[in-house]
Amino acid sequence: MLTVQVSRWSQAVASLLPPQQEVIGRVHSCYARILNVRTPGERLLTIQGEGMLQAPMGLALAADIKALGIRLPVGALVVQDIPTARRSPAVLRLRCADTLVWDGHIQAQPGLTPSVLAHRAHELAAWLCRHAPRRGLTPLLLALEHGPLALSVTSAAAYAVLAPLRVGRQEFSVSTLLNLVKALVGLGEGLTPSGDDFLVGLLAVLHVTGFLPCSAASPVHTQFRECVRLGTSQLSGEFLRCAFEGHFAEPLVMLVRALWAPATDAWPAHAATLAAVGHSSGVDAMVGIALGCRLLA
Amino acid sequence: MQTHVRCLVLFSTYRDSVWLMHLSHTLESLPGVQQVAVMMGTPHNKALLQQVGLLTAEGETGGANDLLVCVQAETPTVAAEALRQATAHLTPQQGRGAVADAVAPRTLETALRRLPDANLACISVPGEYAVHEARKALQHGLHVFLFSAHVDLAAEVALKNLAAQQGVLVMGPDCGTAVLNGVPLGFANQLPRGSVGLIAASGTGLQQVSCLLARQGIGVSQAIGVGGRDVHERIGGHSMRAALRALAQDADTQVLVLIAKPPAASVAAQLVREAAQTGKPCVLAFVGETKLAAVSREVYPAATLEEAALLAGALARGMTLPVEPAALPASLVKVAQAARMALQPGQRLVHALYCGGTLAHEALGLLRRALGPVVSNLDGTLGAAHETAHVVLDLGAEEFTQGRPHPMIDPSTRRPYLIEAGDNPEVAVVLVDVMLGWGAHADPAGTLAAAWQEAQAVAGAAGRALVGIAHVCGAPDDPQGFAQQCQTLREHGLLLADSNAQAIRLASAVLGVHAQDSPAQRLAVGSAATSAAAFAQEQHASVSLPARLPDLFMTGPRVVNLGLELFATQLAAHGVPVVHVDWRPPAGGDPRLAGLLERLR
Repeated sequence: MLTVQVSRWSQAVASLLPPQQEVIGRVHSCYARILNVRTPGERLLTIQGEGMLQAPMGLALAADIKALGIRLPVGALVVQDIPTARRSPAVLRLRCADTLVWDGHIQAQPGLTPSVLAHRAHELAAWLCRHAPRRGLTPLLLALEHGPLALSVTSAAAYAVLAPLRVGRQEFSVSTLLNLVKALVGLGEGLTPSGDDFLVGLLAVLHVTGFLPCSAASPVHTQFRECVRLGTSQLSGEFLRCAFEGHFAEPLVMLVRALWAPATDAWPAHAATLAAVGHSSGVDAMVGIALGCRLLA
Repeated sequence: MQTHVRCLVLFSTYRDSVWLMHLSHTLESLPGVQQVAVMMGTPHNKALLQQVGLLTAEGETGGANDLLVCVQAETPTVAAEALRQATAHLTPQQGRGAVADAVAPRTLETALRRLPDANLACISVPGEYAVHEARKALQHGLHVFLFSAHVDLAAEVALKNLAAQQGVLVMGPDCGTAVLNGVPLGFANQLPRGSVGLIAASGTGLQQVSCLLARQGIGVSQAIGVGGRDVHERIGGHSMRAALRALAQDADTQVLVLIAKPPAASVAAQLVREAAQTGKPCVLAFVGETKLAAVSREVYPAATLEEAALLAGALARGMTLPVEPAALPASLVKVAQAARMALQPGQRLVHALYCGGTLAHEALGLLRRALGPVVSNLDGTLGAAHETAHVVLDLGAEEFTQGRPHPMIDPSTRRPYLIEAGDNPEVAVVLVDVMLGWGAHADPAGTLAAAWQEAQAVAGAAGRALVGIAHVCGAPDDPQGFAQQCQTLREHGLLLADSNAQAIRLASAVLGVHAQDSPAQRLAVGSAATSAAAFAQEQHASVSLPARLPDLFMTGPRVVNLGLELFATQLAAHGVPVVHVDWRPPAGGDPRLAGLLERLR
């Protein structure tokens, strides 16, 4: 049994774990430097070591998970280190008092005109084509301009979904969003499939432009959650659900905020950080941002 | 050029993307491998794999939370070798916990050197060796959780006598479940802590009552399985009575529940007497037709496991005991009426396909009371004419499990019987149980749902509707996710009942029969049934409190595990000190040599 201090967590996690709540959840999965914990309310928390929060429902421990030797069996109980939880047969106790809260919520920014969006879309696409031309869905950006040449199976499938939107130039609507979710969710390689990462990027744009949020009780939200539940893994589904609610992983939030910050030269550094996330997750999310900006512009 | 495609499904397996890509590249680099895909088994990905010819029937079984490794190779051998390497890549990282980290000891004695303060041996080795290992554990002063079956009656008596001398408890043989200090042993549910103490000679009976309590928000202090045969005449309820004495003294236990399939009459009478002497309210749930003698106002016979949970819940909360007969709620009455409307005139039978033995036993009794003759493998009445009769099958019985896992571990055992029911023009209702908890299948509802779809398709092709009624025996915090499992079943058109008894009432209602459990019957059981005096001459030998049992309750289990590593992993997941023994049969499995070695000791 191990007791570890949580140094930092996202606002979304903080609101889910009041100080008196004994049970945090059970180990859902454990790999490399990440531990995912499923809460009694069926949310998935991502526990990591120090550093940027890699998930919207992220908690950073004061020590690296690998260094702590945390390799817990699936189903192991994780509790808060509070007196009432003393008798719980837990393998990991998290000390959550005095934890720093990081606000990973993307809110609407005023003044994002179509031309501003189109400009950023162009810049981001150019950055991706230059720095990550073959990774993830980046080839899709060129394909949408010049035709579907030499695309991977995943990119070709995504192209088939997105190309008509480029040609049609119809106004982006809630039904457009739901159709995209239905068509792309769970598509492609990776722990979080490329299609899901793309949708996370797209949702970030929808939040920053004020297209979302929809309330948690809205029919759109319900339909969205249903598509996600049926279409992808629990872990990736959690990322998408959070994204719909406006919560994102830290590298993505930093990039989105930088893209529309007054000092416009800071974003490439954040793009590089995001591009380093996963094998292609960060890149795919950026493709989602770039195409999202284009579609909304 | 010839191509051979094979898929490996790694269920509920998560690896980061970098690892997945690394695996993909490693497999692609193998000589003779033409194409590799490593993807989560989402619907879109399966469609993609199908499109490129990389999906096999095996791959089709993967879901969105499962990892698919699909290989196209020049020969079947190369494809198989690639998948073997994929499995090997996975194994070292898989979360097996601390149990697997060290080199496992080979014997109980070596394990005890690693964990000198161990107080419990969890034994699940084959029955012919289990007695030997259990005896050693008892001699070392350990309590024994004896999961193994096929222990003969004389050996069981000897083990229990030895346990009494050592001041410890033997739970078993053939003990499937226990929850000690909140720690699940064997096939047990994740239960909240509370004031109800359960002792059961019936694994799924214990699970049903404890889960129904958990769903009322009521927890258990201890849940002690003793093995089904403990209430046999020759054993005399030895372990159940010893545990009863311990829980009578346990300050955390306010209400007692004893659960068993029909005990021997003399054992039942003795249990009633000793329950009355505890000074604590005690609910008796003896599934079947046993008549009980209530000798005290504090002893409450229950007609069903559901009623046992309701009584225990009311007693734990200090509330008035339920007196109204259990009836179907109005919402389910409507559901039953609607389901009945969809049936064809000839559809009149119930086929009940159970994983849980005690639940099957209970269903058999209740269905006979409601519908008349019912045939079953439980009492040897299952014959060639079962297609034209109401049927209860215990699919966990030996005749169904030879050479394959118990249906709680592999619920696909039920599939052919479901399809057979769909094909039978007289079957109207299929009754099923879904067992959750530690040790059980990771997604029993998903497996059932898939088979149910097939059964419905078969019935539908013949122009019939088939009514499926499921009861999920699970607690809210079970690892499979109780709410999710229920949702899966609902989404696939199965009707859900809260308990096994309610499932029977619902099935009866679909057939137009009004079935209810009468509290009068319960009261009659108490007042007019066989008197305890009738058994006064047949008292079993007295049983004393196992001296070391209160300490087990106080400090919780510290375990040496022999047999199924799954149990050690489960204990480690609960933070329990556990040493797993890499057990091998003595003398290489030669019983004659093993006997000689034993005599030399």
